[in-house]
Amino acid sequence: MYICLMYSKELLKGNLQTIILNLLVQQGSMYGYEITQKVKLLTDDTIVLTEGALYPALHKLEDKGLVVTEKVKLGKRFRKYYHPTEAGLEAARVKKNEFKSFVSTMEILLNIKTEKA
Amino acid sequence: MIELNSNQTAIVKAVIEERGLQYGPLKDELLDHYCCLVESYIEDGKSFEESLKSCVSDFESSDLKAIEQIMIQQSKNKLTMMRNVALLATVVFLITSTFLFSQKTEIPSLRPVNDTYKVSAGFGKQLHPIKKMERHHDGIDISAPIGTEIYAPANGMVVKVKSNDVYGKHLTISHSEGFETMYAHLSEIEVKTGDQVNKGQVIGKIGNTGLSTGPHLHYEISKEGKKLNPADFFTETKL
Repeated sequence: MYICLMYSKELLKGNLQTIILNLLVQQGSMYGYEITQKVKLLTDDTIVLTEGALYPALHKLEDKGLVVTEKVKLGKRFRKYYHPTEAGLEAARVKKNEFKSFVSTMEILLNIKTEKA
Repeated sequence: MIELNSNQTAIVKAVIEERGLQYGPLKDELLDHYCCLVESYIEDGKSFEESLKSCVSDFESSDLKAIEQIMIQQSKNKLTMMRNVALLATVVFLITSTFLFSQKTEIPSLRPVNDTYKVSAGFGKQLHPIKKMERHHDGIDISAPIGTEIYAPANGMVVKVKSNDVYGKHLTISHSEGFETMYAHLSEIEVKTGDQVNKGQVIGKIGNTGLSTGPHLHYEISKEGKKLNPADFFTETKL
């Protein structure tokens, strides 16, 4: 359901909500297609989220109360914007820190050093 | 920024409808998503028809039915969870209500002896029947033949079973809210210390033991140590 040129599906699967939440925290409010385009742009086409990955993940975030939605009429269609809630902001922070810690641990375990720019 | 007109939007909508999707929220979001996709192709220089064709081939590769199933299942799980939470809340409420209701039956309310047998001595100041001196009668006396059943007036626990020269065979039951009931001059005691008793349960039989002028039950009710008039608690009688 993802198209990813460089990374395996398993690597992304567990981090999709982290990616979406943190994007929403940075941008404030986004709609589905906009999220896919932002990810594509930021990763230089390395990660392309399909609707099959994105919409179930957004739905789940909404169910958990981490995002709220707002429908805006656009001609003959509706655009659904997603905003992070207070809980979503906190979850984004926690998940980001968790990932950073995980990366550090993996660097040690796999005996790799991240090249700093 | 290019935006599809009503006709173009309707065409994209028809393409989505052809996929046979049922889940409304997903259909609405996909409509906006694919309209945006078509718009991006148009911005790249393609015509609407070419853009739609590219978009269709893009979402041919997406298993929309599978996406719909995932989202429907997520919704069902949420509904099931909400239903389970509601059910659990109802069960907890019923149990709590039952418990609270049953708490009320732990305050003495049942007459300990059938009301065929009358109160022969009331609560408060009176002449001691044996010592012939004024006394404060701490309970009431109910005269009845030896062997007449005595009933627990409410749920409780037997806290004392004893025998002495004054009260003869006697027992005390502890109830909720600090209430205690005491039964003296019994001929038989049917319970022992530590027993849980239910309202209406036979706890003993009327006798003439201890300092007694005739077969009767001496019955006391106290709340947190303060003696009260048992007759004020006779709201029910065993038939």
